[in-house]
Amino acid sequence: MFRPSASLLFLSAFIFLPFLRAGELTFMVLPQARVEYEGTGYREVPSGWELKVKPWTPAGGIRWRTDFSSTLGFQVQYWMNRPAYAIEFGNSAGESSAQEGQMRLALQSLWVDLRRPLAGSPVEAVFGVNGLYQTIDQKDMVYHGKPEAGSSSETQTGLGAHIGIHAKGGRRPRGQGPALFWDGELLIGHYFVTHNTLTSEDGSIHQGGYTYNGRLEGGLAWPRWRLSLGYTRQMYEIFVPGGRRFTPGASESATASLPINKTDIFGTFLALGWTY
Amino acid sequence: MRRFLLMGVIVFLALGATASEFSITVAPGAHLSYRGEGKILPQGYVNRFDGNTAPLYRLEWMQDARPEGFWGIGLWHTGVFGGGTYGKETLPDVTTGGTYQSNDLNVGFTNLFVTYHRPLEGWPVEAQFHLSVVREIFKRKAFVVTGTSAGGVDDVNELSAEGIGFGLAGTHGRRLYFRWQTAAHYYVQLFDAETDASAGSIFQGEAGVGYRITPKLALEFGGLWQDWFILGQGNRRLHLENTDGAVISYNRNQTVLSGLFFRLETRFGK
Repeated sequence: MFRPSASLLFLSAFIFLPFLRAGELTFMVLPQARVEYEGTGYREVPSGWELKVKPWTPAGGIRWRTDFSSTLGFQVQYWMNRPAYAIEFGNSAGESSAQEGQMRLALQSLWVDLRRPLAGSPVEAVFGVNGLYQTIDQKDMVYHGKPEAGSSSETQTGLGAHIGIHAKGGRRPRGQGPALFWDGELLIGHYFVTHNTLTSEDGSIHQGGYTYNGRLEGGLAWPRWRLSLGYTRQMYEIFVPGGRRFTPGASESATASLPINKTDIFGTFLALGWTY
Repeated sequence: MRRFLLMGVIVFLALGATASEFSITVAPGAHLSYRGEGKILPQGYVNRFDGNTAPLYRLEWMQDARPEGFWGIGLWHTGVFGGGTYGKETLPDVTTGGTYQSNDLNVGFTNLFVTYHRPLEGWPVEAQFHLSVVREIFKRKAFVVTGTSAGGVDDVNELSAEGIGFGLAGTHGRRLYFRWQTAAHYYVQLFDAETDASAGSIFQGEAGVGYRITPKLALEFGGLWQDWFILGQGNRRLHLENTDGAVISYNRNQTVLSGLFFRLETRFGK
C-alpha cells in the first residue's frame, strides 16, 4: 500500500535542512507526469509476457544542495509521484489481453551525492548513493475473461550507487533585473541490493537493476530566488524474485508481481528555488 | 571476427608505439554467469546455465595525462576465440516438468569504449565519460531437444547496443600503487528506436595493486567485476525436425563476469 505518512515524514525532513547549513532548496512540480510501467519475465502461472500501465499523475521533487567548500558540493534530491489507479493491460502479443485490471503505482526515489568540479572547468562530476521504494497495488482483476476477487500489493526496494555530471550557467542581469540561468545533470546508477514482498520460488533474473535521472531547466534568478521551467526524464529498472500469482494456490490466476520491472517517469516541471 | 580482432591488435600496437600509455589486461580464468528470461511459451520463461570460463582480454590506449583532459580507447574481448570453454545450458519445460532442451553455450563479448578522461579539481581522481558499442555473442552447440540430439547443428546469436557512461578512477602511490576504476553505462538499441530503444546497462568495477618496474613499465594484479543487462529479440528458434525448435535467444539477458587479472602497462615518449 502507498504509505503517505512515511512520505510526509520524509518530506518534512527537508523543511529542517535550511536550519542545518546554508544552501539552496528547490521545489519541482510536474502537474502531469507520464509514468510508464512495464513488467516482464517469469510468472508462476504462464501467460503472455508484458504487463503495462501508463497513467498520467502529478509528480514532484525536492532538491537541497549545500557546499562543504568551493570545490565540494553535497546534494539530496527526492522524487515521488501522486499515485492513482489506472487500467493495466498486457500479457498478450497480438491477441486479446489475458490479464486486465486496475493498477496503482507509487514511486519514491532518493539520491544523495557529492559533487566536485573537473580540473579547470565548472562542470562537476557527481557520485553518490540512491534508493528506490515502489509499490504496485492491483484490484478488479480479470484473467482470461474470469474476474478474480481480492487485491494485491507488491513493494519493491532497491539500493545502489550512481555517477554522473552536473553543469550550470547563466547570464548576468542588466541593471536591477533578474539573471537568466540554466542547470542540468545526468546521473546513471546501478542497484546492488533489491528486495520485494510478493516473491516466487522460481525464475532466473532475481537481483540487480539500473537507473538514470536526467534534468534540464532554465529560468530567472534573483539574489535569493529562482523560478524555472524544466524537463526531467527518469528510469528505474529493478530486478526481484517476482512472478507471484494473484490468487494464492489457484491454477489459473493473474500475476501480482514480476521479476523485471521498468518504470519511466518524465515530464515538464515548474521549479521554485530559494538560496539562503 | 578473427580478422577484426587481428586488425584491432595491430592498430593498437601501432598506436601504442606512438601513444603515451598502452596496456594489456588479461583475466585468464574469468568466470561468466548468464541468466535469460523470455516468452518461451509453452515451455516456460527462463533458462538455466552452469556458466563458462574464458580469458578476458583488454587492450587500452591513452594519451598523455593532462589537466585539460585526454582521450583513450579500450577494446574488451572474451569468448571461444582466445580459449573460452562451454557450459551446459538447459531450458526447463513447465508443461511436462522435465527439460525441453539442453545444449552447450559459450557467452562472450567484444566491446569498444572511447573515453574522455578529466582529473577532478584537487583530488588524485579522474572522471571519465564513455561512448561505447557493445556486442554480446552466444555460441551454442550440441543441442538435445525433447530427448533427440540435433547432431552437429550449432548456432551463433549476437546482441548489440550503443551507449554512454560515466566513470571514476584513481591511482594512488608511486612505485607501489593502488589503482581502482568504476563505471556505469546506459545503452540503447537504435534499430528499435520507434518502439522502445532502451537496451540495458553495464556496471563495471575493478581494483588492483601494481609495481612500477621502471618509469615506463608497470605490472599490476587485481580483480574486476562486470554486471551487464541487455535486451534482445527473444524466442528465436533453430528449426529442428519433429520439435518446436531449439531456443537460441531470450528477451532479457543478464551476464555477470568476474575474475582476477594481471595488467601490463607501458609508457612511450616523455
